Amino acid sequence: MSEASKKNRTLTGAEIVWECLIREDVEVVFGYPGGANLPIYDALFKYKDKVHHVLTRHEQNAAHAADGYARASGKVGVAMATSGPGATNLITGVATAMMDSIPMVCITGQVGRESLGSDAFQETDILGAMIPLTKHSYQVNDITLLANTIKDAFYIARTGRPGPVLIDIPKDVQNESMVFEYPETNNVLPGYNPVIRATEEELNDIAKLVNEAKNPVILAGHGVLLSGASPELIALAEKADIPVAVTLLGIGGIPASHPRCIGFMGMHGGYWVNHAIQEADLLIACGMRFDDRVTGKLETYSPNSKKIHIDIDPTELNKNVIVDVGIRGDLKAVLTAALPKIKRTKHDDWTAQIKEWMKISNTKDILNRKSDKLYGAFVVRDLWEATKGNALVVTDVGQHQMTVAQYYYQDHQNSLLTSGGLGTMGYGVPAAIGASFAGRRKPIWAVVGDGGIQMTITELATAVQENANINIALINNGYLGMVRQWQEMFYDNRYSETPISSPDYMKLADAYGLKGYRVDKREDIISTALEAQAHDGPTLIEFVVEPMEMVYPMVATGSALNEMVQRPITEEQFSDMEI
Amino acid sequence: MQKAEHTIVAFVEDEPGVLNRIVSLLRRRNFNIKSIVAGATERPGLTRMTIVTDESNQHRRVNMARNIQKLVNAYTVEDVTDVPAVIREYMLAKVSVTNGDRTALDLLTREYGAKLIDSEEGAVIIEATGYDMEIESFLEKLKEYDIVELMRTGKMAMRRGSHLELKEKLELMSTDQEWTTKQIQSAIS
Repeated sequence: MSEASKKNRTLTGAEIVWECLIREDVEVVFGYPGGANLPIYDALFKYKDKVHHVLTRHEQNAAHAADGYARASGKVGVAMATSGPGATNLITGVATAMMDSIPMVCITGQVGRESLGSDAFQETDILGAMIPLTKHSYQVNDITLLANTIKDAFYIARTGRPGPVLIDIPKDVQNESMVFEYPETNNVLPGYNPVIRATEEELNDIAKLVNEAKNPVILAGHGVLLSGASPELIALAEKADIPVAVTLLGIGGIPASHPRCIGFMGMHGGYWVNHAIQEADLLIACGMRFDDRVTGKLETYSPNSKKIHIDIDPTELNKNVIVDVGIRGDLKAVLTAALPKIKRTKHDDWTAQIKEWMKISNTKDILNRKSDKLYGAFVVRDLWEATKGNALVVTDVGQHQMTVAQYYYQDHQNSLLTSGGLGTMGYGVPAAIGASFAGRRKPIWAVVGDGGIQMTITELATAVQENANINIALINNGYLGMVRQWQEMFYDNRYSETPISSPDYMKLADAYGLKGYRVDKREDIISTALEAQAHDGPTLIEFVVEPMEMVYPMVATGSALNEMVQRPITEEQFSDMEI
Repeated sequence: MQKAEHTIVAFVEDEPGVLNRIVSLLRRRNFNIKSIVAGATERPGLTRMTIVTDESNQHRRVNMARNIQKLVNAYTVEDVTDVPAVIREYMLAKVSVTNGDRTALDLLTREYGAKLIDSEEGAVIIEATGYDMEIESFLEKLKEYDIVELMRTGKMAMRRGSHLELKEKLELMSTDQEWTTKQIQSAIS
């Protein structure tokens, strides 16, 4: 390198951060400036034409937005914050991403190296705090390691089982200079070597169990989407005629309209789906982790089935449910290799049995209720119709989230964004803003509750500042509905602190500069949704719904998966119901 | 019956905070650490740890090793609970003595292959190494004296025999196996 070009390539740590991000194909960053990352934000002026920065109104929401962007785009999301409170504010968003295996890189500023450990102003041991919440974490105390660290961080975030990675950079490292060259290869330890292929023996084990099964069920989780294994999963389901049940994060891994897809499993899953799982003689768990919300009481879980579990993360095998065949590998690679060994077959009796269970359940479905009242389920069902099932749906956490899982029949991959593992209220609005930068040509609908939206309502300002094309469907029932539901069922109707008031959302929308609508009749849902969707810029529709409605069916904690509480039918509610 | 103790050896990067990561992980996953010993090895940059827990469930034992292996700073992990291995512990004890006790104490120390390494007015320091039962039974005898300070290191483990797989594993581990879509495609085809 000549002296002149060396001089040209002499960059500060702050500039190196942006150079590295650009080389990692980062187009948008969500963040918040502060004292300890001032150099990074100052250097941003040089890179404005290459990277768009979105100023969220709270660092937690920067993390949620990066998460939403990552889920919608399949790329690594990037969030930035300053030291101390900025960094600690990221934590909820990082923990959310960790639980749901979302690739993300968080860059925090830190006090200068000479002040580390002195309780300096806005100093927090964010590395120590983040160790249990991230896939990996770094503090860069030497500028010569900065570019390598960023390269490694992106590699770790997106490979194997994806997850968030923290990079903490002291302010004086951001200010130092060096000749910049982006490393060509990553430097990650040799022990970090995600295994992707199954052995021949393992493939034969899969084939033997699948070919012998009479009542098999595939359990499709988030791994199907993360691994891009939808075509292989569908091929398996079609070839061996196996019904597919999906987890919350697995929704979209097989189209809901696919004849082999039986729907959503678990605590609020389909009665017929849970029955199928309980009665199965073979479960083929694909990229899922047997969370307590999908197993019910472990001791009674699918008692008579053999179990195959395929997951990229070996620590998930035999963690909650002990399986007969546990295979560490990339789902797409494993299924592709297994498919030729699977015999083409039919399971007509089994399919007919599941249909029988479905009929029992349909009689209790709220969608079959003839009512003038407005229920959350009607809103979701009609939004599905209005959007022709083509929306990218983001949810918050609670009753509406389960209602979306039940009634927004998702046919598309990576089109339901929801905090599944951590159940983070407040996720919906910021994640939808993040998703709006993913370049998907789909209308974005954030379905949220009146509790969740008030946790991160500050982001309405961000949505307006960015003119993000998001539509917020606020299901307002005046309660923290899911908690109230538990109080009604398990705490003798003692509604401790679950009634919640709201601001006047129309005035609020007006104040923030969103287009606002209020709907309290079912017949207005579709027309209003279409009007909102046609509007250029963010909109908010408040749906004023029945306050005491519950999500059914439900598996109570400690119950077996098939011991579901069904929706009670009263004469009045179903008087003129046609079944 | 499972042994009450579960012993693994972890080979990890010699980096600040790695011990923190391992301890934090074991706490988070609800494993109870009985002892942990970390130190330098034949290779620069490689730290070797012997971790002893009281985990008795075989699935959880496997899970624990896999969890440590999953740490980005880990090279490899070996479970030495059920394989031939040398497992040793080091102990220092300060015993308060009058002149009359010294001869008997000296004899006891020799009997157990321990060493009197410091002798001052009123107190001696004894060092001992051995497998846990040896240390335990020596300590039992030593209790007849006035032990004023006692320190045990926790266990160190090393597999018996040449065990060349480990050497190969550590040498052969290469960094160039990028897990990319392209590579999955080539793995599939």
